[in-house]
Amino acid sequence: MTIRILVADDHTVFRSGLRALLQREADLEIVGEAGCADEVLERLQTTQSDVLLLDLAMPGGLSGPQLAEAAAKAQPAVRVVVLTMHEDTHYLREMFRVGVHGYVLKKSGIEDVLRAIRAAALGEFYVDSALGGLTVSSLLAQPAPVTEAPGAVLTAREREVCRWLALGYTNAEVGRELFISERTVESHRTSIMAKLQLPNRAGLVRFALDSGLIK
Amino acid sequence: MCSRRPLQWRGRRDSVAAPIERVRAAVRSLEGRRAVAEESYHAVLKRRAERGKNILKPGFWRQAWLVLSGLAIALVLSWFAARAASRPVLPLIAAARRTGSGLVDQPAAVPTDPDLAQVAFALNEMTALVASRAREEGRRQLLDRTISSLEDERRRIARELHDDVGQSLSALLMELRAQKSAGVLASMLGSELEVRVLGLIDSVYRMALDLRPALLDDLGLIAALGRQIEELTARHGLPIDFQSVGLEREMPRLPRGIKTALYRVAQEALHNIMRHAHAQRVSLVVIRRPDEVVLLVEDDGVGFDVESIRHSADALGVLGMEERVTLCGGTLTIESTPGQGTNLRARIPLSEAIS
Repeated sequence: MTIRILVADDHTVFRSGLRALLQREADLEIVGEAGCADEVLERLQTTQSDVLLLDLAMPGGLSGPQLAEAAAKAQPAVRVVVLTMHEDTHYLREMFRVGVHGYVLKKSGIEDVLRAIRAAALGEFYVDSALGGLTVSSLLAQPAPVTEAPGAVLTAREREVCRWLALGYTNAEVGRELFISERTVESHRTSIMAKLQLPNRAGLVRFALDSGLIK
Repeated sequence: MCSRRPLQWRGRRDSVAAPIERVRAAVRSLEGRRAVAEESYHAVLKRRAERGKNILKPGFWRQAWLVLSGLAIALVLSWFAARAASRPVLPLIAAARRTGSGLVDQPAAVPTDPDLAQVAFALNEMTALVASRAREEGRRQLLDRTISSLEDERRRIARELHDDVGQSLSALLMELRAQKSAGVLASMLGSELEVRVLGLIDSVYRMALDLRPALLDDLGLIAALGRQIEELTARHGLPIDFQSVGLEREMPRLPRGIKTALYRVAQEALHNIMRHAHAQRVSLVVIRRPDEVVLLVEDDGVGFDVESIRHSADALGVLGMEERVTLCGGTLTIESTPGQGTNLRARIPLSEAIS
């Protein structure tokens, strides 16, 4: 069974090069091309296709992520594979969040494109081989949630101070809010950090978020 | 007037009778004249009294007229006096009006009167203040325009590099690969060209990213900061602890000016830390509250004297951060103690319309 492909890129040279490479594959067939955002959405309606190869930097009113989202929502049966220059996990995460099935760098070899197309056609997800390392390290960079250990529970006052600090107030400002001295706030802060083994403000904010002190 | 007692002589009566008679006649005549005189005197008095009755009326009107005209003259005189007294104040009033209407290039002339001179000095001080405010406002607007046009230009160039040059290079790469696989291009040459084009793509991509990350416009502040942190950590090996509140997916979007200001301030602060702080840990926090956005950059590095940095080569960086935040209506505070790290905080209010 052949996979019907829609190619969307504003550079004709790119499209023709891609076409030349894809045509060599027996299971793939290019059924349409689009050169701008409007054309993409129009071809999705008029062309029977299985996979949309989508450039993230197309001219038109929509930004790349917006177009990807619109395309993924317009025809859920058509799996979207994004072809992009963005070597970046934030784009990658956002793309999968809006519903694409593949994320491939334009500079990657045709093998990555082929694998992404075939995976997407099966309803699977594919991340460019060059981005595997970045993806893993970004997963690892997600900090573990901070919780209170038994025997290291905050007092009501510390909780209060923690909340204000997590909202971005300085010691002096927290003191004014709670009618206590700056020095007292500082000692509460030291105690909070020690109990929860927090290294800095970011950790404190994370705790406040995780424990529902702030939203 | 002599006594009217009749003269009397005894004894020699006849011999003195004639002179006595003469004297009596004289006295009588005198008495008659006196009566006439008295009569005429009374007549004069009477006439006077009658005349007095007759001149009472015209005398009253004359007096009234005199009083009235006196008053009028006094009024006119006092008006002239007041005018004369207020004449030196008039230029001051005019000067105050000029200042009020925004014309601040002409200071008021200083009058000779010492009290008025004080007023003129105070007025000129006020005018100078208004003038400096106006200059400050003009400078602010110019700076605002300069910064936003700088950002627009960067965005435009970055986008052109990325979407135009980068995309063309990608197309060229695709073409090369197609030719190579079709056997049109010698494999050796094809591979070599491919490597070169890949190098070009990378450097163009990096140039665009350094100018202004498309992320900032496409995905927002948190994504752009996240990317920036990944780069810095990869390059310097320093862990940057990043946490945001209320900005996941940045909905609703922060206004572009505020987003850009916070991104640039964080960028500058992080670069300063990498260059000077010798920190072990860096904490970056962005908090969005309904009415404001707060950026906190804290490190545990060597710190510095905040006042002396303003007179050093790094002053421009600090000033630049301050200007960006101030132009958004926010405040930037830097607290640092040598040996105890540095805390930077930028607060930018969000107007009702935006939040």
